[in-house]
Amino acid sequence: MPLYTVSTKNPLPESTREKLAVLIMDVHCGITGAPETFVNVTYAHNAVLQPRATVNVLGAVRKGRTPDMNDTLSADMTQRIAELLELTPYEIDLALHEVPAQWVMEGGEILPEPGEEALCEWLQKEHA
Amino acid sequence: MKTVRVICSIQEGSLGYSNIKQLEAVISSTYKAHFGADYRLVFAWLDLPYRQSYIAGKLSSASTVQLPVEDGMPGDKRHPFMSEICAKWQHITGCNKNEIILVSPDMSEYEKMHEAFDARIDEKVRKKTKLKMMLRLVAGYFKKGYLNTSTDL
Repeated sequence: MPLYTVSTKNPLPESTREKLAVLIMDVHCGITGAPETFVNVTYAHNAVLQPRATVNVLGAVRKGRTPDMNDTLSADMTQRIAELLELTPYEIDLALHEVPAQWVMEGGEILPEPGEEALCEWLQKEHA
Repeated sequence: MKTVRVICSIQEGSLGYSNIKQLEAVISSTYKAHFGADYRLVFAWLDLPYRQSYIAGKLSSASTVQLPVEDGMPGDKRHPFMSEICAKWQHITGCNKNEIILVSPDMSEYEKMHEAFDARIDEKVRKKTKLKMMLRLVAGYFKKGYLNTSTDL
């Protein structure tokens, strides 16, 4: 977590998928301060999306951040993805879905709440 | 008897029939041991096609399991269950601890998560797309012996 699912009608080329996965990680971590380790990106092809959308991005993110931060995350993510894919922001359909950290286990451990990563012993050990 | 829908997204070709049937049995029995016998777990196995999932910007080998529990389940009951599921998954599949991501949401929130996924799809074809997905799961069952299809729509 976060888990971003990128849906498109036509498959994105592999090199684009790779760049987009890195971009999503950079934007997410840059704004939220989350560790890169947590950022999952998966691609689903053959999706018949809403009429205006060329790409749909659904991000399941940890709950507990401010609405302002989530708004910034959505806006910046949309803008940067549009730039990478040479689309207008209007063609990117992006939504965030908040999930409590306490409901997610990664690396055999329950995820820390957003902003509490530095206090999380197991996470600090992983990155030592 | 309450039906619990379990969604396991796994790397395409990473697990064979016997591993999958063993996981279904072990996850079901663990669920019942923690939360009571009055549950029936139904598994859908979604194949993540090769090179379509990334973690930390690199190709991922992780599986994601969505296994909902009753609304408001306290952490002291939810977390031991989750730890046990992750440990058993690793034992059966031989994967390492970073290759299993478990999400155990409240059941009502789980439905909302799936509604958000459905909302990606144009309303005009949404029912048709869901039906197609279900037919593919059933076809997968006849082909492989368990409900399965691809994450591609």
